[in-house]
Amino acid sequence: MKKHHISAIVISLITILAGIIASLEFHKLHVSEPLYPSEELTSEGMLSDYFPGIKDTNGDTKIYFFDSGKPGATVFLAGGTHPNEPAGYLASVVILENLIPEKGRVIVIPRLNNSAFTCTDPMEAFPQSFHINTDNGPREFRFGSRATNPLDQWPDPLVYSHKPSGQQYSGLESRNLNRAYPGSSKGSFTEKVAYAIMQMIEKEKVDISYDLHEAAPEIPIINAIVYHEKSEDIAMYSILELEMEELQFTPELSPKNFHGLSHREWGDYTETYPFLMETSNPIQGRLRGKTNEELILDGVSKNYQIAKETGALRIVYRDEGEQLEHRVGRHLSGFMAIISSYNEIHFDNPVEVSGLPGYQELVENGIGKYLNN
Amino acid sequence: MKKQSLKIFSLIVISAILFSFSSETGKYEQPILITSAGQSADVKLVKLLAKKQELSAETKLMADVSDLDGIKTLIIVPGFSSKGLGAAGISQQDEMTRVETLVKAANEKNIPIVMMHIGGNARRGGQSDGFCQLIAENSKAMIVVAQGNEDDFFTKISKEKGIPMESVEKISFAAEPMGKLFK
Amino acid sequence: MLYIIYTIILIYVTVILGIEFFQERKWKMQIAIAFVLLIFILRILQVK
Repeated sequence: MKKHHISAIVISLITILAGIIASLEFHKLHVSEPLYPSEELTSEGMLSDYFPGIKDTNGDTKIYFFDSGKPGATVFLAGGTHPNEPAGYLASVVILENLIPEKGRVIVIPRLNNSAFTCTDPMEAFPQSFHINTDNGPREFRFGSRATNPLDQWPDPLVYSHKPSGQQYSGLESRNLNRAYPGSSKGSFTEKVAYAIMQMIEKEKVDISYDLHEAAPEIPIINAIVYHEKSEDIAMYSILELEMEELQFTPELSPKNFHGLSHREWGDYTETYPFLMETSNPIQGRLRGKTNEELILDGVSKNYQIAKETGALRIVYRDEGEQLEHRVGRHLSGFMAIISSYNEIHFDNPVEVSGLPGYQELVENGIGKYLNN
Repeated sequence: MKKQSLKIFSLIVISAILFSFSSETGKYEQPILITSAGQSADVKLVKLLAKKQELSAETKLMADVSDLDGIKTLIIVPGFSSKGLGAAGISQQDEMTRVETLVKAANEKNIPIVMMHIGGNARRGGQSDGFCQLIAENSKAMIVVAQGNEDDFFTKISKEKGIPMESVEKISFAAEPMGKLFK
Repeated sequence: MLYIIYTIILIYVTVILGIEFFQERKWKMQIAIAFVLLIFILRILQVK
């Protein structure tokens, strides 16, 4: 055996070892953390129950049903459309683990784009998870990607053409669930997931639907409620109600010609009143600096403080940071305000829930107090 | 002593501002046209406030000169929204041209303009301030939610141009001064 | 379809690189090739 063959074998063995270690790390991303629904949970299902085309794929995800047994409206709450926006995911988990339905029913999907929880965005140095301290020790939650895992849908086209509008987006958006609605039973992986969600909204006759999001502090549409034109009155009453809780939300009308988004297509293709809520998430920002778990939890970024002080950028950034409790709290209070405004207008078909903490409680007690384990 | 004279001076200034605004009470007539400058959805909140005050008002996000026929007061809600402009399918420049034309026509027809800035700091700075300045300078009265005036942007215009201004802490508190203008 | 074409290209490049790896005489170059190969193999095995 020649000398360079021996070195090739040694290097191969080292490479294989590195490959195994990397594979184990990657495999961890495919394991979902356990969630502990409140005792009021009535049944569980899978998204594939509404479209078998996604059965046994990474796109299938758990659906939790809370039925009060009393007549009333149906609410659908989606977290995890973008798993790199942790407040949206965590708000849905807090609701899942504390909800008591009093009238009507609530459907929760915490991991709406389940595939996007199994990877992180390349070149962004995002942590794979973050931890919330509870009375029984820390609980780990996955931090994922904005888009479907490329293993499930690859390669990206150069230009993504939304169906059926024909609106064009960059190729990367072909894996963005929030550009895929209404989806297609014969489309890409992401379009199939979107199609299944549309089927679920339709079949369950959902009256109010929420899609919880976050955005970088420099994006103009943060701390906002984006609403479909038919949801206008509910959105406006909610904003005034939230203002009484000292929470400022800006109303943003969903553009009719901006296709593929939940606040547009859920409303256009089904009877539901859709709402999309946004909070400010520094880890998504371009100026963020050191990218780690602390930034997810505390939301303190010196770069954003400097940007705000110089006035060079018009950003909404709190000097003390954008803590996760505040962001989850905004979603929780927004969730309840929209329900209460809906009830004011549709008093003949109300939905009532209890057991949920609001913004003030989350800020005072922390998120951990409202997690079961 | 100095502190006390400062207090008295501030009281005089505040009462002067309040008085100047209260003299606006009932000065404006209905019907009202409510429109946006920058296409923010804040205009819908103002519509809701007008409804609460039982004012005879029509809301048109993209109001143009022909919509001024028969209108006695024009309420403009400044604030830039990229989603709003997208929904209307126009550029920021198109919107500025529309608003400038509308303001000019209202001035020619002697229709008073009332500015209501209720969007706080989210509707200030950057792309919003051009609209805010244009409307504030051409208005006969201003109602402003305080958070959008932390840098005294509207206070300065109010003082320079002698335009009465009412500052409120919350959007919902804007309904009352709005109603008073017409009753 | 594109997926299959891309995967075939990937397997082809991996085989070429593998042959190159064992023919390469400088160990430093072998390490460089191994770095590239590792990523390609993980992709073929659908590990990510």
